[in-house]
Amino acid sequence: MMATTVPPLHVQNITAGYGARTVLHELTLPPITAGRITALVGPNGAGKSTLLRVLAGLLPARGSVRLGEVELNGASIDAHARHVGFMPQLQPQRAALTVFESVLAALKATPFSGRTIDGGEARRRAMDVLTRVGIADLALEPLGHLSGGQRQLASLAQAIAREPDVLLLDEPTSALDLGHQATVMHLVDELAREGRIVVAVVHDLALAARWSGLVVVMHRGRLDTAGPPAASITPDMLARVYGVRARVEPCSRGTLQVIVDEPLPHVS
Amino acid sequence: MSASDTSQAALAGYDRLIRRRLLLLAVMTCGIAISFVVDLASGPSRLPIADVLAALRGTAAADAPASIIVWEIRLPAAIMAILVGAALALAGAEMQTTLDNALASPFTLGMASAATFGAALWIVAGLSVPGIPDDWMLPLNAFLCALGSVFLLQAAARSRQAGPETLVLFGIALFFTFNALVAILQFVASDQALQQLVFWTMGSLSRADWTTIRLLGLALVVVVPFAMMAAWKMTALRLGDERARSFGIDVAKLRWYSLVRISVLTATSVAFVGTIAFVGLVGPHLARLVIGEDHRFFLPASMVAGALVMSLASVVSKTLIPGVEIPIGLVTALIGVPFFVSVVIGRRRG
Repeated sequence: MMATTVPPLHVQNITAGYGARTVLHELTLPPITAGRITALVGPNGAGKSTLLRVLAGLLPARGSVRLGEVELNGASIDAHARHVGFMPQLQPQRAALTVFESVLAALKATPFSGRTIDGGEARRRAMDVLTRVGIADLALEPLGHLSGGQRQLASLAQAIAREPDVLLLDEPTSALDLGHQATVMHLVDELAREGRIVVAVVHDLALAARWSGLVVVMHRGRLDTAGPPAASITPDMLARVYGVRARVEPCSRGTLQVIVDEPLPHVS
Repeated sequence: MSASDTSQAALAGYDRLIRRRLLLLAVMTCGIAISFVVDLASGPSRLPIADVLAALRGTAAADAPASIIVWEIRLPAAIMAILVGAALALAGAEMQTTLDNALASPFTLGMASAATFGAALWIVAGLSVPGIPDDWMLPLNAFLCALGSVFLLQAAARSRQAGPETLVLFGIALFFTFNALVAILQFVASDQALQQLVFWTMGSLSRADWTTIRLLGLALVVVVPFAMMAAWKMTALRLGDERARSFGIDVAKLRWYSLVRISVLTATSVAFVGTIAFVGLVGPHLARLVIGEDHRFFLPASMVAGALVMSLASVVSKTLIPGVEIPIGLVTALIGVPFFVSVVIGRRRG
């Protein structure tokens, strides 16, 4: 449980890329607030993962990423780790570690909240995290023996072990079946509602519509639209950004559904 | 079962896991002790175990043949086997984690080739640092060149924010470069120098004496605490570079210090016993199989496994062909090659 709500995250004029290739161009987002999931959507190559890596401090960038009064862009690895947790898209498959050990490592690798925690406390905390994520029964399983869904949950446990204010998730539900998608998104939603900032790259627009409070649509390294699902996921946006003719219709319970009819002829 | 029951059961299971690992470490250490005594007993004149133990305890007469053989001849080599095995396996374990590659060993990045080049410089060309006694020139040259190759590697790593792939690529370049330089020296060498060089590259414990044992022991005493202090960070590195960074680990710095530790252990070992292949590969693999990659246990287990393998190899090198002591580097290579192949095949299946 979080005692206080995290201040908003301000992303301003971010330019970043790999070598000579610029992926993000002067990107500015509306303030990202705690409490609801912020979904980053957009076609392949739009710069979603790049933005997430900038926010995680893994990729140098020009511009500003401010959490309340704290400037994170260019901050030390250590300063980043105090505020930000990151869940990469790919999990290593070959590490000969148990689920429990991987979470212990997250807690013991560097001082946690400014102090080195002892073994007993680390174990208690690690077990609490696994219970929270619902995989306490998998604690002693080797990471390599987990199914895809279990692996995502273990990865999420590693990301939240250090109790970050800002949680960044790169496609947390990719390659998961419907049941595991719902489990993971429900858990992530809870983590957001406790007062954290949660930014997730999401490919599935129906998932974004169902679970997020703010949808940030990216297109070619720039912001296309940002707003609540109903305002940002529209037939116009789908035509402009994804190049498809599509309908957006509320289901019987009001959640938006995207129905793609056909690809549009290429204009560019 | 309630949530708290599940977590209590898991915590108890983890405690059992830790106890099992400590037990395995203890068992392997006993294995080293047994192999060590057998190592002392075997050789051109086979000694009864009782005589060896008596000589070790000092209860045998000091001038008894068994005492002289044990203390003067076999003890330095037997201790050296254990130290070299521990040092190379620790270096190998760190290398495999640093490069995220289970097929890496201390020699992967050209360090042994560099050491051989240093040795060749002295044996063939007589080149070295002035003011050092001749006895020391060969190991010193080998040490300096191995260390130099690592600094080249680290310069490359630093300049490009390199990940494992760049390091491996640059290491391969170093490997071929130093091999070519050695070949040039071999080409111009006299017959006698060539013979000496070839013998040196085979790797042998017969060059061990109390001074070299002290120096390698010192290297281990200095390096091991630093390796253990970085154990949690190295464990976290197994979860990937980006994950490790998100835990607040300066991954570039972690790699740098790990390479320094690897180079000190490798260069010191190679300088005193020549090229001993595959211990640095086999030791960590055995440790990973029985204990896993929590580096608090993985690093010590690698050392113990490496020491055990080397001690056993030393016994084999003396008993395989009666009356002939095969260079131990050849024995470890003969054990190592099938092991290497089985690892590769096992991975394909997995």
